[in-house]
Amino acid sequence: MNEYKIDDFSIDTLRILDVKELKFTRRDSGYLYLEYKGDNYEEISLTRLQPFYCLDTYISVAFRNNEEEWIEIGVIKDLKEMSEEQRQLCTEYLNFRYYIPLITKIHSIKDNRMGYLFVDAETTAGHKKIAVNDWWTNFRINNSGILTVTDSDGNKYQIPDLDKIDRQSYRKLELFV
Amino acid sequence: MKYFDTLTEGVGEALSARGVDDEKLLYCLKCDMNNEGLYYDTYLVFDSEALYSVSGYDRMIREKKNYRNEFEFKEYKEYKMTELKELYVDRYRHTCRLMGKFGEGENEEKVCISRFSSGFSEKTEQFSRRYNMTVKKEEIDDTPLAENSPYCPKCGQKYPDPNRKFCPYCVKRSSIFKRLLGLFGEYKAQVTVIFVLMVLSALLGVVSPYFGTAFLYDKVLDAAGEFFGNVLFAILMMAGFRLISEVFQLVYGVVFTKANCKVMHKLRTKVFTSMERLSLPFFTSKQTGSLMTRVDRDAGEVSEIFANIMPSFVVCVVKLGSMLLLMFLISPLLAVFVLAMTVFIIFSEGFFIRGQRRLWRGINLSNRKMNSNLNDSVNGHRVIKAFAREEQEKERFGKNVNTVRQAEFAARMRGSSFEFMQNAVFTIGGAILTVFGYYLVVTGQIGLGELMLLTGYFGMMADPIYFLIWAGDDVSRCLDAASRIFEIIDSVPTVKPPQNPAKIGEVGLKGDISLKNVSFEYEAGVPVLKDISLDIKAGQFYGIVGKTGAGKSTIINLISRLFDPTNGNISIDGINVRDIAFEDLRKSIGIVSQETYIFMGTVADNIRYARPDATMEEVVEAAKNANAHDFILKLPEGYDTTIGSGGADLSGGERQRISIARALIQKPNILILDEATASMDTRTERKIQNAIDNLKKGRTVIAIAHRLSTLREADTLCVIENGEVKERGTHDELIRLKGKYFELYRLQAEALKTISMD
Repeated sequence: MNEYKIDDFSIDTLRILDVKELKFTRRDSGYLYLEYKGDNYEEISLTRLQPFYCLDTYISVAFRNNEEEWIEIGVIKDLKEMSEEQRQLCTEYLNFRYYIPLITKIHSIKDNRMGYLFVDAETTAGHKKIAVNDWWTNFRINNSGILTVTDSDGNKYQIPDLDKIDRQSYRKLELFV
Repeated sequence: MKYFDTLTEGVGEALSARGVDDEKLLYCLKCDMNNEGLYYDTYLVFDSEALYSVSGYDRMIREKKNYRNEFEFKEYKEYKMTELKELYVDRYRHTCRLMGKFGEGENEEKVCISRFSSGFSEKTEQFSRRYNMTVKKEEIDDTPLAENSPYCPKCGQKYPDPNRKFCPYCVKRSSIFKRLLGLFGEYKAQVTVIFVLMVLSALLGVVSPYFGTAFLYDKVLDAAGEFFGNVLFAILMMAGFRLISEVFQLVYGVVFTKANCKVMHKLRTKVFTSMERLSLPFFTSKQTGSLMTRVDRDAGEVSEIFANIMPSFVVCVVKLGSMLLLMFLISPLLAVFVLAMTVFIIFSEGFFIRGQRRLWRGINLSNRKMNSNLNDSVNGHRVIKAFAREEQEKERFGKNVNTVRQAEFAARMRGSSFEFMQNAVFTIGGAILTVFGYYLVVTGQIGLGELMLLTGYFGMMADPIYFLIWAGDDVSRCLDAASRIFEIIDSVPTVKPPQNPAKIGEVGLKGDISLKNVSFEYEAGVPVLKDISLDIKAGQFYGIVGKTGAGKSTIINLISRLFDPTNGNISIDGINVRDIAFEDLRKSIGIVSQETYIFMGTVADNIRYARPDATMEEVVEAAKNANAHDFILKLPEGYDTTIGSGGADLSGGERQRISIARALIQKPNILILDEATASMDTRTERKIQNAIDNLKKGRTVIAIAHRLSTLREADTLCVIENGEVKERGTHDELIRLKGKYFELYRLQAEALKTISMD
């Protein structure tokens, strides 16, 4: 395990990783293991710097130290620069890490139910009745038209492109977005 | 097996079929996903020997009015406790995995047991903790779970929001309405008078036109009429009925306004009192704006249902009913025609409402966006100016205003067009009615006056019809406001006062504080403190050190019982804090936190906030001790200067000094300083430090500080990191240890050295 000494007063700078030196391996447990420039790291975490806009570029690579803290090793600029096998490994990990049920159809939205809104929807994970409290806060649409719905348990669902959802579902949704 | 999820019959059968004795099962947990991220029901249960997993699909089968649960079995797994040593939660962005550790040391292997949505993480953490304790044969205390059951005790369904103990399946709208009416319970006599007068006034309003039409034309002006030539009588009757109707309206208006104002005052006071009774988590889980809305706007909307909707509803129903009745008596044929017109109008209006509601929601949404933008720009004006981004902000605001304009334009255009259509329908309907009516007059089936009365009634029907069509929206809005208000009134504080508080003498608590295996999480599944144990002796100066977000302030929140720990116990002088009355606890603890709040009032009032009976000398003494006296004298009205919202502006350091004075005047036995001197310059900090040093005598002081120099004298220092105690000892001991504290201290010393070199 690399202890990764950092100079306490050095200025933190963006460290772009040399993709040719990266060698990820996946354990049976699902955790990633990394060899980079002669150092070995157990339990690697890959994080998208812009999870909405850049799915394959700017990926932060961090490892968990003995203090259970995540320390960034550096940033992969573009997954495409990696070998096919390595790229696939990273993409699978990222897809798993960022997995979110996508809403594909809305059957009904029942509003004003004692402060709750009940969304009966089909998602990529299956059929779901979503209870939303305070829809103004929990229906969030970003500039790219990605709608994120947070239910009262804190679970999230997404509509990746509001313009592409079927017309009937959109008509039900448009009162809230 | 009470926690965490209910073992359904089908799952129970699947377990029994595999020889698992469900009587011996300790805990049950339901996870909601398979490894591919598809919804899949996995039940995990354990007894003292193994963890069992049963997966499949839960289905609700409808049988007449009830639902029956059916389980489609897919998979069974068993993990022996001798092999599965530990469970833990592995978190991803929106989902988590329950992981199991098998074997030890070199042979340790991690295996995914189940996957679930992140909303299940809190109970999964609790489940894992209990499994791990069972493996280690440790005693499990489930008391905190009993107090925070996420299930409705009435229907057994899970609350949609675990932090809001409100079951929308059990509460019916009619019950809310009945409860609202109950607020008028003590005004039964007035309500009866109001109702009778309302009905009478509406009836007189309907009867009055009769004297100006049917009576006048057919009975007074007609030579064959009973009252031929008695024009004055007809006019007097018409005016008299009208006048009496107006007087009734006035009387019930006055009686009603009096009762309504009293009820609304009572409701607002009740909401505010209930809010004050609730614990801190209630306030932190809600936005301040939404809470203020509940006291202010929601109460106003509830008042609307009594002030406008109900009276208008009664009047409209009585008017419509009596007019239709009279129409049927005069001419059933014309009455049927009017009824058909009414049905047509209701249907066309219903069609219009659906679209219009959408447009209004659009206006509402765009207005909210514009207001958020405005709020941003006004509050962030310094930054906007500093970065010269006025043009960009102007453009952003312009876009939002334009959206509002478009939304309003669309709604108003549609509204205007429909209004024209409505008027056209009424005019055409009226014309058909008149033509048809004249035919009946000519053929002698009805009198001219009766026709005029009918056409008059037709015109009078428009308003009540429109009111009744739109009333649904208003009632819905008011009942929702009422449900939000009742939610606060019915909320139970999460930090409950003890039923039989321990007796604490006049002297208060001494300050022997003990934290035993305390864990805590603000957000479900995100532990802030992990199994912390601390012992603070009375009279000790105890320093807590750690990075931002390490959990230092949380320890203080738990000691002063602003929150209750998720696990473990806290005691002061050997008494569990849960058994100490709030009054005794807060009297003994003085807190100066990093967030200082100045109430609207004078400087003196703010200082004596916790002890309103403090004398002026005590106020000045406390201000002097807090090094606030000098700046207070420079304020225009000294100690009488109004500060807080709308008052004089104070700097961060000045506010903090007032806050220190506020804590000092209380003369608490336990003084808690949470970054109390963070916003002060070094000289002032030194002075206050001296004042605090003086106050330490005979007191337990717990201090949190980033500047370690202020904690050098602490009897014990404790280093917290990631919610765990990493080191503890005196300054010298920790320096010798060369661990975390040494590292932090070295960093600060190095930084100072750099400054002195500059």
